[in-house]
Amino acid sequence: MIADRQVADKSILNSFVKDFILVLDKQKIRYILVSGFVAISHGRSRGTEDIDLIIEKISEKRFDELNSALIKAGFECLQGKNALNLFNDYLTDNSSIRYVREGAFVPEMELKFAKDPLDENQLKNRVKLPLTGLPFWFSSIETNIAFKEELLKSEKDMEDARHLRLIYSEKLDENEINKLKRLIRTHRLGKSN
Amino acid sequence: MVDKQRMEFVEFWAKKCKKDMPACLAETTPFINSQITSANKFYKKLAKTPNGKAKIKALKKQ
Repeated sequence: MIADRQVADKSILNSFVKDFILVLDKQKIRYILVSGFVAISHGRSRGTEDIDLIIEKISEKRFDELNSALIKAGFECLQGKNALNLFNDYLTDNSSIRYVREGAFVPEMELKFAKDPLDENQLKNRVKLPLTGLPFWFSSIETNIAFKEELLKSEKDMEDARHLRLIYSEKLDENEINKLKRLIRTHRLGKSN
Repeated sequence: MVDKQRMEFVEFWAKKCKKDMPACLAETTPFINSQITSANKFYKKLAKTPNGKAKIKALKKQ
């Protein structure tokens, strides 16, 4: 719809994400957008300074190419310029790195590799969310709710989960949410179910 | 612990978005844009102060 497009086009966050994802797509790198941006894209009335992005694990060479392409597209990494250091000191250590537009401070794209079967499952089962009007890949709504309610649990996260639950009330797969929560307990919280 | 009144607003707003998502996004987008614009203005100002860049680095580490 034209009205939807006009709103989407005026969003600083969407424009930032769009330009970043364009680079990932050109590099043929699988990704998912997760967490706060998912809720905000569904009208949640709060701001954010960063956007969480998980990408498939790639080689040092491919990351070097990605980093160069991002720099060429006008982004810079807050953790430094050296792709080798970024890869070895952060990404393969399961830490995230953050990109901003050159000369700006926010928003930030917080990028990390898929680090366990849970992340790999999210990537494998990624979805588009037509209600947002955005052409990006996201983790499923059930996944976002499960993570917010089982792992993250801050007041903000519980509100995000509630917002998404109400938006998708008749479509949610509660069995899937419960299954994901069990996986979170196993893989992230070290609990046996 | 989740604040009951805040959650009531979350639920009110979510129901509104469910009815008319484009209208909700039309309201939240300028608000979020202004937050980002204000934050960048502030950070640029802070960067010009003594130790400003170090402070920004420390803030970003949080």
